[in-house]
Amino acid sequence: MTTGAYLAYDPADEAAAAEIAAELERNGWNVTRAGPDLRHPENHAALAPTIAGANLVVLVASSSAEQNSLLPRETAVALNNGRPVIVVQAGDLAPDGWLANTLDLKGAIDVRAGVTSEALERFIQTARSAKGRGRVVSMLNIKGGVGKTVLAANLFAAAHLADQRAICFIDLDPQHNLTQYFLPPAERNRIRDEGRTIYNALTGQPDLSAIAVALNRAKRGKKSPRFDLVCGDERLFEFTLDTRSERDKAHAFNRFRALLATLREQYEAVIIDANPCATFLTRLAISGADHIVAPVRPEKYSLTGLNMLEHVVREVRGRPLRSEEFSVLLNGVNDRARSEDGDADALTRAEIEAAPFFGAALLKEEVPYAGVLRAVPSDRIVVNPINVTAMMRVTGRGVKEALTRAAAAVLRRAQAP
Amino acid sequence: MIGKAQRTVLKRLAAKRTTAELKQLFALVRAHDDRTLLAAIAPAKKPRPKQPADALLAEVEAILQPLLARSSEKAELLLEHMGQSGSPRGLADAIKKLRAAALSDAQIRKGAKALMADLARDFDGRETVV
Repeated sequence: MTTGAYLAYDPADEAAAAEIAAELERNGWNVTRAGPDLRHPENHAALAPTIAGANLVVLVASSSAEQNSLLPRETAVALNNGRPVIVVQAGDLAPDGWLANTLDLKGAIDVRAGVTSEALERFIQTARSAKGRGRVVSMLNIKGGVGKTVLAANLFAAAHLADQRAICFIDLDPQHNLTQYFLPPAERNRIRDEGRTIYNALTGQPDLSAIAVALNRAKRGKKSPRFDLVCGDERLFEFTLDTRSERDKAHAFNRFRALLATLREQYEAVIIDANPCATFLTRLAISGADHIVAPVRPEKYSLTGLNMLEHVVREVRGRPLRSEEFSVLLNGVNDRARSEDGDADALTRAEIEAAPFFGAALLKEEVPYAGVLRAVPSDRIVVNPINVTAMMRVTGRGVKEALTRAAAAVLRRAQAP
Repeated sequence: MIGKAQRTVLKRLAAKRTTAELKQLFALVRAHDDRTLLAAIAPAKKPRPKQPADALLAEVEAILQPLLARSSEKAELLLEHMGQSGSPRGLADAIKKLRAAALSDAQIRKGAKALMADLARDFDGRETVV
């Protein structure tokens, strides 16, 4: 399969860019170069989809690149669309320039002394491993209360238990309900004291490969794949209340990208549970996602939430969206208490099916209303967190089968190119 | 038409039976389906002898009831807590293993209570409000 690479550079770095492009093409990449044609103002609308469609973005960084007015925009499109960016450093950079403030330059390939064969070899190795096998799925709906958190937990517990998928959750909501769903207060405090939450990942330098906490602690079947959580933390409010500086946010953005890159290597699917609004954290969840799952309840305001979601994602990614990038999942159907004459499901389903954009994203697999999919206070003691999920508790097969089918459908769509 | 082989079967069935008995048999076969007829002549199942109830097992189950876990997981935790190893199938199996390790019922009961106290300290799920 041919993989596409977008090469962004200033015309002054043409020589280094040509060598890099040639090396990529020799190794099977299809390279799109940021030439004058693509950068012409009339082609600006096509530029963002081109960058977003590439598997890899290579940026030639130099003093002239720092003066280029187009490169920051191309870099922003790459970052906001979750593209892996490899920096090839062709010249000295200002410590406070936009490149140093926007990108993590520690892993840059240094070609300041010339494009040597060693540098090219390292570059190709970095390019090959730039995107791990795991897919990143964000659970998003701008409307709250559609069941994102509990649905995420149960949907992907089904994928883990029924289909043996290695799953890692990231609780990116300051309310950290997903963490509360799985872990009791004492354990959450312990993890926070150890500095192993998403807040620490975004603001500090913890070992990202060891930050996730195991949620399936069954001692039998030790060979089963991992089912883990990067715990949430209420201190994430600092990023939604805007008490954090732009510099801190840029650092957090890079740290989050590094976290996703690490988790992609270890898991088949990384599930981000995001907060139900449009904040810096929502931007992280959108820019890092390969696929977005929008749970919808058969309720009046759910559809408004969907429209807002499309708007917010388009705004973050800076380009028109494709229906395949989304899965709309009807959650809580067949709830007799919700609809007197039982037509709320049919009305919601018909409305989405007829929609020009989300119609093609609506999954035929639906999750029925079930008491076990509600998070209610309990005085039970849970030592193995996965035991709280419906897959471990429900005796009837209906809910389990519906969750398994829906999770498989979501992961199938997320795998599609 | 009844063939030669079928006639043989009928003759074998009719042996030592009077015409009246045969008529009664044919009427019965016409009135019921195969499943009902076979069930009627099947030997009665012997009821499985009931296992004598283990009072300690019931007690340990009640002590560990607040723990949200499968019986095998509870059993493993109990065994581990009491310094034993193994993969018990359930609580009954764990108690059997503990008794085999020369632990008395009183010690097992006390161990189950201590396990719950430890778990409640580390994993109590109740949220509190400031």
